[in-house]
Amino acid sequence: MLCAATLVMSLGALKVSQRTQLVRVGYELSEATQTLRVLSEENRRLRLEKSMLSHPERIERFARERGLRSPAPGQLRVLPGEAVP
Amino acid sequence: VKPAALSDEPASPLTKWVRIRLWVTVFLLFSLFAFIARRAYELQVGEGDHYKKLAERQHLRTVEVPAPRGAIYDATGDELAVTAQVDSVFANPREVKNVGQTSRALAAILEVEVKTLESKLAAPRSFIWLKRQVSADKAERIRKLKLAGVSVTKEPKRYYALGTLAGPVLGFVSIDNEGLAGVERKLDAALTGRRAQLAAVRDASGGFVMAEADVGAQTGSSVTLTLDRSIQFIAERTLAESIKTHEAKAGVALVMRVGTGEILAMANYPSLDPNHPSAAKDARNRAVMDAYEIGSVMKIFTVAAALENGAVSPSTVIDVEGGRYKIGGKVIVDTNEDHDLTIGGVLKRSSNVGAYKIARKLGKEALHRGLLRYGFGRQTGIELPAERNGLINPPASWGETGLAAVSYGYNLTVTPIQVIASFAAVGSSGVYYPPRIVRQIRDASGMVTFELEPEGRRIMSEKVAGQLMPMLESVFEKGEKTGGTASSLKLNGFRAAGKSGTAHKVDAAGGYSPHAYMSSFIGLVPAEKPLIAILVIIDEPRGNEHYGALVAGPAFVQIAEETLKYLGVPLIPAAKPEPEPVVAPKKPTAVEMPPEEIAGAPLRSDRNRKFVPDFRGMGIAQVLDVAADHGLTVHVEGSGRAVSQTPAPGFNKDPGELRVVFGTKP
Repeated sequence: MLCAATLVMSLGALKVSQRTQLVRVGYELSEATQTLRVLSEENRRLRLEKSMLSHPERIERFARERGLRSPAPGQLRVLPGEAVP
Repeated sequence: VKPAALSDEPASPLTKWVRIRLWVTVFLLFSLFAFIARRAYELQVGEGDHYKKLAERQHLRTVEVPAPRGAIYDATGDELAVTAQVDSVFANPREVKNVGQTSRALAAILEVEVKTLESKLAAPRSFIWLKRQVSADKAERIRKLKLAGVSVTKEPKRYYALGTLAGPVLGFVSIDNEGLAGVERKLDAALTGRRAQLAAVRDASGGFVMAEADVGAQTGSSVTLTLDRSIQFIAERTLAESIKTHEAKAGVALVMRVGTGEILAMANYPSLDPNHPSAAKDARNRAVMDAYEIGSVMKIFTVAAALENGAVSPSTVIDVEGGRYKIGGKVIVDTNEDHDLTIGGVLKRSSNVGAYKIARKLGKEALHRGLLRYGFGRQTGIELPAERNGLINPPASWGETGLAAVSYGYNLTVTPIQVIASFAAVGSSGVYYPPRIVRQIRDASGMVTFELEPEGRRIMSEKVAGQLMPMLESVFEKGEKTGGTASSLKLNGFRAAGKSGTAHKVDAAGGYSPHAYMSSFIGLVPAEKPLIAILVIIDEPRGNEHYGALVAGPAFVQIAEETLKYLGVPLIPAAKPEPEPVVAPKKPTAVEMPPEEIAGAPLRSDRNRKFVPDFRGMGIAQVLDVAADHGLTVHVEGSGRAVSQTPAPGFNKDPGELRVVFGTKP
């Protein structure tokens, strides 16, 4: 009887321990998911910002403000090789 | 150890009674535990699912939130449309404790009327949006209020990085991220991901254990377009300038890659900002949604059909009757008073009489068949919504005046996208490539699910396409009496083959307006090996000019020159360069210099004089480069940009050593 009670109590303790661990992992998973979401969102936001800042109209305005102008025929040199992204 | 009551000694009546009570107690306890165990089994196993659902109904909140929509990129991989998460406020009215107080607290932050909020919060529902897509600041203020039954969640919102650039092409989405126009609508199924179920579980402290919006959501596919945002910008800026100059109502500019059908730019005026679509007025994608009587541009196809059919040859001479020809009760009038023109001359001088006489040699049926073969009268199939077919009436209904009208671009309507796609076939030796705007589609995992593979079909023979090219080049020939309609256009460093068009518009009374025009210009550049086709249409220019070459022509030239430079095509001296100045021009700038002088071609001399370029404004490397091209020895002083030079720009008998001073002021 005593042994049975001890066994039941041990199993109960194990169950509680597993349950606690499951909840803890659940929190960790939730936290990791949240971090991933925040970082992904930040990445999207930065890419959006980059795209807005490199608007051709803005770049052209800055170029003109700095005295740059469109090359005349013959001033354009096309170098061989692959384009650098 | 046995209890006394269970000893072997004879039981007394009292002991016996105790034993009975003991067994009864044991039985009762056992029965109780058995009942509890049975009930626990029933609750956990037998009816577990049922009670689990009941429990979840109490502590779980389920909200369906759109999945992040796939991004749209231009051909170079830059973002055109992206989705980012924003805050939205919702409520469970059943949990709201004080509707009036909650409404007043929220109204101040959300800028919504108290009555509206009260009405929402009093609804017998378990979920209702209070305000969607609010600023991060407002969302934070609401979170801090910790109002019962009120929550903030994230949901995706569409952003268009370039504002109005390509707005009508991209289209826009609803607040629920459903594509309503443009690419967003046409490719809605691909761009839309799998909607998420927001499962929010509260723990003992009131926080969320597992929750938030995109659990279970799957991002939509990303779409890469053929549009290049830099070329799109060139086209839109040039179109807008042209429309402003000519006080026009609207316009379209298209740039298409010859030999693939890829649309590099699709500019519309007026445009719209998809971030604020409701603010747009009269904006739509005219390139595919509008069909016009486009005028003389269609003479190209009349001539092509006649050459193909053998009705005429390039050497056929047409008597254009001095530019006036009577058909029935109507008179066809030309701008010029020409007499004998070759087939190329008809295009070059844009003779309506000539086009009609060519069409008459061809016949109505054959012209009709030709136009259908070139793709008119039906959709091109470009991946954009609401594309028009255009209209070509059956040839039996044309009559003689109808045939004349069709031959020079009236009595039929065509869309800009049809015109440029068919015209581009001339530049690709007669092979038609359907216009395309989607280059690639990738699913959320990055796997390519669609890749553009241009498939052409021959619509005219290589011979006819080859015959048309010099005819279309002659349109730019100079000369008041013999020059082409585009003789006023100056091509700076490249050759082009093109055609102008000027059409009267139909007025409200159903006749042709004497004052409202549709001015257009179409061309292929560079003419020696066409890379791109460009079409510019200006709707109702109200300035002093209305001829296609004068209104749309300059925009064509500007788009061509800037696009060729952008694509890295070296601009070369024209086949027939402008006469050289005998004396030094007044302060020639680098842009005004004869192209071959800068191009590094053999140095031309004028009476043994050397040409000294204007170096002012250039950097040191550029000065050294240009000087070397001209065989000049240069002495450099200072740093920055060239501010002065000796000798001065222009032709110089003995420039000696060139001295260029650099400084901070250009």
